[in-house]
Amino acid sequence: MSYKPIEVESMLKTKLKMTEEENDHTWFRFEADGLPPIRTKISHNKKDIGPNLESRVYKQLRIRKPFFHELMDCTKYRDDYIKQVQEDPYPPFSVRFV
Amino acid sequence: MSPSIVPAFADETKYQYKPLGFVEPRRERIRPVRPFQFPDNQVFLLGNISDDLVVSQFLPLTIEQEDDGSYIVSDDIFLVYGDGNTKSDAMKDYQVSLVKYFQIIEKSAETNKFDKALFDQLQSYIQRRGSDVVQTNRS
Repeated sequence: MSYKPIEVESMLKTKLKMTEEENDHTWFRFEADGLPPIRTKISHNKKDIGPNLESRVYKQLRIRKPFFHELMDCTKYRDDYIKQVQEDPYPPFSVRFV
Repeated sequence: MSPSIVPAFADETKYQYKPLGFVEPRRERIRPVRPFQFPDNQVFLLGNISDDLVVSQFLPLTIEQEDDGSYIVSDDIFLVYGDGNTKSDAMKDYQVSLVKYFQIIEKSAETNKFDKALFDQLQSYIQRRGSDVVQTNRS
């Protein structure tokens, strides 16, 4: 099942409480105590987000595909996301801070 | 009574159908040497990406095609991506995204320690034109 960009954007804003970066409508920022800022970009070029593009989004969110789908399907929430990213970020943050 | 021929070892029985002294070529060891080639879906970004930003170290990018024919260009270091109906459009969108990403991290690095570390890493690939690091590399 593919999602529309507006559906993903809505999930980021309402469920994860992500904010737009500097009034930019494509980059969103997630912050929680003790975690590096997590940023993701939502492309508005398409009607539906294909599998390759979707994989880029959930990698930016530091989660795996099943968890991303659960966020989209409303079986996971912000607290679950924070716990997931704290305990098992994927890809791990250490990659960025070598 | 004629003498019977008994192989000294059991393994020799399989060679008795070959003439004496025949050596089977070991073909499995003869392989053509092919020149190294990068996969078709990988390219490297280097050079100017905007009026004032330069990629100074090869940044490996992956190009993927969606089912609808559009393209995604992305990197696995900073996790930035761009998309478009053609490879060229996707590459342009990637460069725009990378410039925006650099600007966001640069600004946030002033106040956030995590982004400061990330910005240091980002600067090993991207610098402002005319910055000290670029001049050092050129000299």
